Amino acid sequence: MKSNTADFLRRVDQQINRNRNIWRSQQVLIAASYIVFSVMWELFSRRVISLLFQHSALEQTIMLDRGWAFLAVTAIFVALYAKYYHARPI
Amino acid sequence: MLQTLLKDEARKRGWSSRQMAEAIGTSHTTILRALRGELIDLDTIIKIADFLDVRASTLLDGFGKKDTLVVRVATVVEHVPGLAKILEEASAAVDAGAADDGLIEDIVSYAAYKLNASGGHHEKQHGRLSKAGRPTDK
Repeated sequence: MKSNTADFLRRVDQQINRNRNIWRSQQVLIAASYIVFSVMWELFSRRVISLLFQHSALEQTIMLDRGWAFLAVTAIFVALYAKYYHARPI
Repeated sequence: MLQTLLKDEARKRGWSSRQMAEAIGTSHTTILRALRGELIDLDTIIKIADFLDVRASTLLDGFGKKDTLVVRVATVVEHVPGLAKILEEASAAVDAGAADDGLIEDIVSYAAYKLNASGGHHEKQHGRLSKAGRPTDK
């Protein structure tokens, strides 16, 4: 094999590996973000719901359904991930 | 094709896989992996291509040969956009006579091989690249 062919193939190899590493880093970042979001939810969701709904009747309902709200937000995240991440180059 | 070429050569010479590995200059395990159709590294592919005196595109013939070169280039660039620059440079090298006409074919075949055989995220994202070089339907 000519040396310049081998050189080009090595560059292709490195490029694919690089993109794969970027993709893995993105996955780690997404997972970490979700964990941070979960912790923040647990810590601050009560306060945020109180601030938003100002002791209305709705506040109690939402407060009781915080778990479902969390699941709904998670489902939205998963849907967005599936829809848009698929289109990413790597 | 890689498997077939290796097996044919071994049969022709009457060699065992261990003897083939020694002649090629790689480990026995690597040759066994190649014979099983598993992903092997680029250096081994280069060694095997040199040993068999064939181009990389011939060795990796099964990966996307059914489509035209243009379609295959588009497919690999869609999966790994960074390859566009490399392909442009390779094309310029071919035009300038610094490389032979088969260079683009070699690059595309190797990219398709690596994207297919590594079983990585590309399959999860785009569906496994078909042998025709296009992502298959999910």
